[in-house]
Amino acid sequence: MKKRTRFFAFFLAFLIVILASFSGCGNGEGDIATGGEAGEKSEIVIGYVGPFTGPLSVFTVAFDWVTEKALEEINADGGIYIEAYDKKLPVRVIKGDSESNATKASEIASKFVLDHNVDILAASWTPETSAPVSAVAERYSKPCLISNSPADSWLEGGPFKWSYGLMFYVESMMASYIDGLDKLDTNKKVGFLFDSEVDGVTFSALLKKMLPERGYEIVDPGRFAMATTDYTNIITQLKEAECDIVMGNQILPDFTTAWQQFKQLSYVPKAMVIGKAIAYGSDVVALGGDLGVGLITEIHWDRSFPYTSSLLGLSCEEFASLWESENNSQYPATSLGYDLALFEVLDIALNNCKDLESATIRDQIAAVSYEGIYGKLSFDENNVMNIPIVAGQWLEGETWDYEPIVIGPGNFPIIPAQDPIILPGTTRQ
Amino acid sequence: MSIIEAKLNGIASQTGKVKIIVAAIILIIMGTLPFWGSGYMTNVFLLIFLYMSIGMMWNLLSGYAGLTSLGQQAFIGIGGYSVAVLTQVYGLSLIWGFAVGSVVGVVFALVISMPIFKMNGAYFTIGTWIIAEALYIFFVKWEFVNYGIGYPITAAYGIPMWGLYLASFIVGIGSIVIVTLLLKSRLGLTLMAMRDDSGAAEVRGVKLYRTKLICYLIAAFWVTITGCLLFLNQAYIVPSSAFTIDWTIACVFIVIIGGIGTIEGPIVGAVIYVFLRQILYGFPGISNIILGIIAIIIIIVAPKGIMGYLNNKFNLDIFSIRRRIKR
Repeated sequence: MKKRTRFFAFFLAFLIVILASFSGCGNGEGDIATGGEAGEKSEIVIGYVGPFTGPLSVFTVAFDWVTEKALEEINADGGIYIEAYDKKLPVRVIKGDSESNATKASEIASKFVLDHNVDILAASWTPETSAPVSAVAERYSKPCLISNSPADSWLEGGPFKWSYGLMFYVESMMASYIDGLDKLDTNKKVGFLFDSEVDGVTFSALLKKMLPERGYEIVDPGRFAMATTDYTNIITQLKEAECDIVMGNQILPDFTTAWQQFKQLSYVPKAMVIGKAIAYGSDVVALGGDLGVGLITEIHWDRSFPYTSSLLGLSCEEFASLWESENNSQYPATSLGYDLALFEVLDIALNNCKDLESATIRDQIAAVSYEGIYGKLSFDENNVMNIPIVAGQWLEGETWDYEPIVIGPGNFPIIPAQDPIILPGTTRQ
Repeated sequence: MSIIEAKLNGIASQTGKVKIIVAAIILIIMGTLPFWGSGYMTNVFLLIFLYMSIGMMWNLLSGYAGLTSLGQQAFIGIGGYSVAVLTQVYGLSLIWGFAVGSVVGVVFALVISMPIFKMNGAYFTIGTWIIAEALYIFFVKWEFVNYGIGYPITAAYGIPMWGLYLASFIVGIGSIVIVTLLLKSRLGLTLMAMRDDSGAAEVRGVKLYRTKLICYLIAAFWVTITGCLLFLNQAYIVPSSAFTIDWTIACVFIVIIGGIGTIEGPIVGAVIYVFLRQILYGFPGISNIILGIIAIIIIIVAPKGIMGYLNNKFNLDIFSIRRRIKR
């Protein structure tokens, strides 16, 4: 009996210790709303959630480097002056790994808000991260800035009161693809290779409307589950329909399997358009051999873009070169532009804040209208900054194994484009 | 009545009083947490109660009924999707999501029980996993649930933290009460007899199929309800997060670490699991490795889990399910 009583006492004490220890964490909900007591504030904290591991981790490859460059600039003179505190506050970024998983993203975002009492939530890359993080921001009334996620699927969680996005509209992406395809000599038959994940379903649905309007015929074998390993049935259908063009959206491992099976089945379309899988030169190399030559994909940012960073004062070419000289590797185009734009917008918004009330920060993010690494941008009525997206083609390069050229400017004609050079189907059968 | 019997009864009565007092204090502290604790503390204990609930049900199946399932994510997904579809598509209130979800979860469990209860041991385990995976593939190809796009659950935005916490608290404590009462009942005896030697139990008159089915349906019902809350807390659902085996892996971790076949095990396991996840977020890339190493160390040091070890060492039996012969 004594042992049991002791154990119960121990259990109760253990519980009290846990509760007491957690009482020291965070500042309570009252402080969350006010952004902390004026006299105690010593820094501005941004809580960033991104897929640092898992299948989407390739997109966060540049985040640390860009963060370092951006914070060097922002904190150069002691940080950002906030009138309410009558002093400059340095900006600090804490990052959390979503593991490419929506549940984990949500848990980390909640921890950032409730435990770390961050001033701003930020997140990037695909709906699996953007949607749950925005949901946390809306629930706890915390300003939130999302970068690079298709705006269309993100907006299904809206209308948002606290979340803003640096995003692309899928319609812009598809328009640029079709611009590029228009330049090719094909039979205008397009076969679909879209999986049943968020992007695959959204993109294929939109293309079904847009392609016929531009004179293309669609052959759609239907959606398939991610991580499918046998594409024989799909490829056979597309081959029998004699599609000169195949369009799809997959992660790299899945596309590698599919593309190799295309070759094994002696069917190589004249144009292969594949989203997500080959965002970086290293992805194209990973396909093996010369399988990457001539592949068409979306380009989220490129060194050839005619813009200059509002934060670093570097042109796109200079920024890409800086990466390559410091990291001795090909610049990760997709990540580099978006990561920098995130800090550009936050820098402008915070510099316009008189205090760090959540509502003040939110309003200043909404008011950002600037010219930076993506040109002139401001938020539309959906809280989206419409970031340029163009179609590009991977070709064998001089400096790196593969280098992209822009072939379809789509809705952003200011971006210079070239004609596609190689048709995969004309070089191997 | 002898003096010894009187003393024993007195001791038992005293222990019972201590238990009731301690339990009442804990329940009051935890039940009122959102009103005096920080938002973060509330959120962490909300997660603890939800993970405790799914861990408790997995323990009921694996630790007591001998039904080691790797497909509990199917019910979590059904719960989450019920709430999402009914609130987001049909604009119904949340209560409909819970009601429909629990019915669908139980009916689904009833349907799949027919084939999988014909399997035993590892075959049953793999069978449940395959069914959950098949359900995932079905959902990503099903137009009615918006394919793999999933849904934001905007109805969750307006739920106050204390409301969600109290619902989770009830579900977490409810899981303990359900399992305890179940194991103290006649069904509990048959479950344990079945787990220890199903052949012998059947010979002694235990109806295996019926016993398994009741247990499986209870677990399905409660896990579905818990799934509703898990995704309300997340406010966003896609098939890849709804039907991921990560949910069952969490259950296995919680139960193995806490102590399989003990009611206290999933409670301790859930606390440890959620705490570790909170701490390990700061180790991107290696958090799962650290989690795995911790699990291996605990399994080596205490093969029966923390509570199994403590129960053996100190003869603890907090949620006693022992039967006492009436004198």
